[in-house]
Amino acid sequence: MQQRIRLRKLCGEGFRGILKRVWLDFEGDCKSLVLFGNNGDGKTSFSDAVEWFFTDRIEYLGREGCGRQDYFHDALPETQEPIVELSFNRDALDSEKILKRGGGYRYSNYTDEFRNYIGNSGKELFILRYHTMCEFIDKTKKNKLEDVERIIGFEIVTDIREALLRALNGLKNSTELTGFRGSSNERGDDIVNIIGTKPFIEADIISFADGLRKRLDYDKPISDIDTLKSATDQLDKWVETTERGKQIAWLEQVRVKVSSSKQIPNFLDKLEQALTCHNELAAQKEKVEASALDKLYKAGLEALEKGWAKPGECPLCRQPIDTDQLLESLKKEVEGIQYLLKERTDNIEQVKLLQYRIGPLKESLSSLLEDKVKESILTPHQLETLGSWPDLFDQWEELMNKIKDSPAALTFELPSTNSKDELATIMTEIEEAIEWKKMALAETEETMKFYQDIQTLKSLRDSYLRLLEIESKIRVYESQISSLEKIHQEFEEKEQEGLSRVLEAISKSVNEYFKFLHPDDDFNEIKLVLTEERGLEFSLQFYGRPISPPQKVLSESHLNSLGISLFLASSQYFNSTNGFLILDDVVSSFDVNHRRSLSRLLRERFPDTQFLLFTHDDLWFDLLKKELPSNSWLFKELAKWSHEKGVEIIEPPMTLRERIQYYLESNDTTGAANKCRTLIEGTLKEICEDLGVRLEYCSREKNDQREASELIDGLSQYLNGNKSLRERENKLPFNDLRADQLLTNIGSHHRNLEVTALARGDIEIVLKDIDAFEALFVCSSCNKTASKSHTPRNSKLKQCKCGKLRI
Amino acid sequence: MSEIQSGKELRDQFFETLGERDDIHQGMAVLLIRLYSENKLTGTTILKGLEALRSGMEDATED
Repeated sequence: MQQRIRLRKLCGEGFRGILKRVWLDFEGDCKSLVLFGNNGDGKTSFSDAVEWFFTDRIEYLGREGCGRQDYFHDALPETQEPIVELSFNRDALDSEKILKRGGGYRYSNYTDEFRNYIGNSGKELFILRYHTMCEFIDKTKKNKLEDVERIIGFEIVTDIREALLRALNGLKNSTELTGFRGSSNERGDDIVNIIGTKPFIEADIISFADGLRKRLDYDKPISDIDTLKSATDQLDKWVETTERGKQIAWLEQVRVKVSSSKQIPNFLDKLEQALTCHNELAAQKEKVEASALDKLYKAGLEALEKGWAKPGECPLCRQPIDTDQLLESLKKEVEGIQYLLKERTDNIEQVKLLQYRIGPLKESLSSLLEDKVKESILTPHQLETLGSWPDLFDQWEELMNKIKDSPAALTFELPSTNSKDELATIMTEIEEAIEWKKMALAETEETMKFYQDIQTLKSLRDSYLRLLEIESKIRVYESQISSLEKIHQEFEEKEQEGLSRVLEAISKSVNEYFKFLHPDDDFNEIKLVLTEERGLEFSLQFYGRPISPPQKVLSESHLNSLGISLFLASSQYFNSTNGFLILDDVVSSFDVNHRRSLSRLLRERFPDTQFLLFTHDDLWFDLLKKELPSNSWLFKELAKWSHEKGVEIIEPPMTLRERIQYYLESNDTTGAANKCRTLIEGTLKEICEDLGVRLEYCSREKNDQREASELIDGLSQYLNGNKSLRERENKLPFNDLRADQLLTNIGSHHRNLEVTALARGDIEIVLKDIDAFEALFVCSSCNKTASKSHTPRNSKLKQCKCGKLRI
Repeated sequence: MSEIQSGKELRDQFFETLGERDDIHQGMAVLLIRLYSENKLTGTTILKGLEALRSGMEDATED
């Protein structure tokens, strides 16, 4: 396996919070880095720079409504363009990326290798930020699945499944297929009308045809469709041998056309209904026009629902707006448009069916205007009336095309249908005339019956052959539907199988990492499971009980651990190109123990991964310096950000005590007081933890938010209970520390109160007090603290390493 | 890691074996494989291809 790409240097200039050129140098062997900076000092500018370098956008900023114009540092001269430069453990990939003021960007590396690298990196997820981590946990099941599919590269599988499904639905709902089914029913009805059996099978038709054959004295039995065809052909020839027979057969053909033309009024009723429906929809002009904005409304709705838009601001015009009200009104709008669009689609389908019917009707009617019919059957009035109909058919065809293709907001009128009833009357009259003529030609009832039977046999043959033809077309459709259904179903099963395998593997790692972070908690079998209706959710066992979603039992700190575990697991499985990960301030709600567990998890389980760990927590920063091996980790610190200088790096980074001195030297006593408070709390927590001091029960993260006074009380009780350090001179540092804690609290929380402003001397005294207090718990001989780790089990007093100090 | 298939591997494998199936319409299998290999597999292109297949089948029937 090729070595994964690691960062050697990250440089920015004029980008986001970075003004002057700043380097994060990971040294020749691409070490991991812990970067400390207070909130607002510019840590995230580095993760923003990396994200933009690879993806040309900064996703979370986009969700807040910020665009590329916000990537420029405000104080960057107009003549300069922001630059992000990355160097890697493979020199051929080194490149600058310049954000051009005129729009777009430019890489300095033009090679195919670099282009491929950027393409592959765009598919990997290597930046985790605190807020994006929380967002995933809170997403809907459907959105969780979409996110995971994107992370694991399964969205291309979804695209195929959806294409197959769209084609399948298109086939099932095909207008042509519906038309065939309609024609099949009509031909079936014709056959039922002839043979009088419903439902029927081919044997019924053959049996009926053979009965007629016997009545006609035709000697060859009809036993299948072929013999039916040859019998009707032969009988046709008999008919053609006499002039009378020819005349009656012709009259019968005309009668069939008349019978077909009698369907025209029904067709017109349907067309009128479709037009009325169209015009009613078109009358809702505003809604119809708004339907053109369907996609825009849906996009706005999605932006609001997914929290991409800034609360209180319209995602489109950025004007202040009540977000809830906008969300509600967009939902209503989209629902209304969907209803309208469905109505219109259904109506157009109806029109398409009518388009299938109009051709045969027009043909039947036109055949009645042939010379022979005109001369021998139609009266002048009938001829005049029927003569105007072919033009009407043309107008209706045009109308149907307009309904189908024109903008939905236009209304239309139906060309005249006044003669609809008259047409029905004329058709009946023509039918009667034909019957009279046939009877006159046949002379006797018996002869008439003979010709009628022949015609019935021919109609039966024609209807059945047409039925067979239509059914064959339907079968072709059905065979395609069946095959496509099978393909779609199997593709879906394969997708589910593949997805389940991925989820199983990721879940195994998520569970392992989560358990690493929370070894003492009774959470087990953490899994990502597919839910009904294509969704995804975490599930876990809590005291043997299955729980889903995890929010039911997990604290914020646990949920954060879950987010980090999922990120690490997915990067482990799917980041094959890059071997670096950026964790940007992800431990905000972690308590001390879990922070330590996280640093150990990174150290022990990811020795081959380069981490860029950003934090604003100085205690964790100090802890990481102790926990992480200095041969593979670097520690850097950011100076206070300023508009004029942008982001600056302090090297080497400071300890908490050095940072207090730095604030004092900068005459920032408030900042120093704030750090002193952190130092007092940190010192007390460490001592309490070392001695195993028992404190009042606090659930989860509240345990880590204890104030110094609470810790001092707990420590005092421990010392009283163990009768150690009870001398008066030992009690003094306690009192001093209580006073210091109060002082630094006021100093850091009331920065605007002149009277409470702290002097530099106050802070120096606090630092001395902390030193004196800490010294109480350190052995003067071995210089180690009294701690559980040096003490035999069951011993009440805790001792130092040499055993001389016992507390 | 080896048992996990990427999205692309999964798609490729599915379409590679589609032509070997005897329980589905062969013309359709060929059509889908061609559209997939040309990166043109969408609902619309499938429907157009199937329409052409139907008229081809009807022509064959008429012949």
